[in-house]
Amino acid sequence: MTTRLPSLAELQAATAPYLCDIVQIEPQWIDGNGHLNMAYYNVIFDNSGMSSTLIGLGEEYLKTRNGSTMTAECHVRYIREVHLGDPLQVSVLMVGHDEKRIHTYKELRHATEGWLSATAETMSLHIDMNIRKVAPFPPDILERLQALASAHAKVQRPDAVGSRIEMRSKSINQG
Amino acid sequence: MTAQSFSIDELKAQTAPFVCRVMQIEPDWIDYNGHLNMAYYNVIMDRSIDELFAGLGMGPGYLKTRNLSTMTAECHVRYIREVHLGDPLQVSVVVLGADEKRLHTFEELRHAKEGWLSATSENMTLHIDMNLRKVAPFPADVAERVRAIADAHAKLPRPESAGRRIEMPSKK
Repeated sequence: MTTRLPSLAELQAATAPYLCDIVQIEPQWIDGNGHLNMAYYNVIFDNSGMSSTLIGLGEEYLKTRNGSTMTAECHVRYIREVHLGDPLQVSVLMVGHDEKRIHTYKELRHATEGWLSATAETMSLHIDMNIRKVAPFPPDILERLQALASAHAKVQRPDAVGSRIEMRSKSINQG
Repeated sequence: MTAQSFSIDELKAQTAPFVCRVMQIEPDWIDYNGHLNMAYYNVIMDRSIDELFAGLGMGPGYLKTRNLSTMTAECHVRYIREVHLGDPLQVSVVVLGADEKRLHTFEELRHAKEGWLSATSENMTLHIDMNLRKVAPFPADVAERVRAIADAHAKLPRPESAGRRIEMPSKK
């Protein structure tokens, strides 16, 4: 499938988080607690993105140019349980980038009711698959990232960006 | 399967990270990059930490018999080295801290034979009363075990990347 990528002007005008397709929970993703298991939020987050539709990265990019992206870090916050049948939708905000990295913040929401179920902050690396090492984006990709970054810079940064995991008070033992 | 919980003395003697059983990668966890997909690291680590929870008295029967459970509030994974189909993997867990209803843990995923580090995962886990589906204190017997392992693990060196935030150092 060849995706028609937006023009640079269209990317520069995209001043809101990118909305991904609505997805459904699969039955085998439900755990003993009767809700979407924590691990499978990452399946949904990883399958929902803007790399292939906006930037020109993804599986087709790998096949044609032997480059890819790999995740270096991912921080998920679980806010509200979701259950089989809940339609879900991810939005993606580009927090930053440099010549070989993309920093994104995603929100997973109930697709029709709008409430927040989880957030995911991710650092992705661009990889030259010939040598399987981090490598700079080619100029055309970097140009697209810059265009989108300039648009997303106008979106307010969510408080959760850059947060760390910590136990603030009342600890038996803080190690 | 009835999981055996540890005695308080056994937990107090845990002066090393808790080591889980060796796990195998499943073929449908491999993505188009030809390696274990980032999401399925969480499947492996979530299944592994269940062994520690069983040892603390929160095993497979805990929900059924007491209507209590645990849920993850936060999870921060760092992907260090790719793993591939056939690589045997093993998770170890350090309890970084605990209070009356939360557990703060740090997991390392390593190649089970060669020992190198593939990923780390820092987690905050909440204890849940499933009648109300709300956060609730650990019952006394579980709290005692949690305290025992937290005290024992406090003697371990704190992992360098614990408490880390995701950021891109500015070079512009």
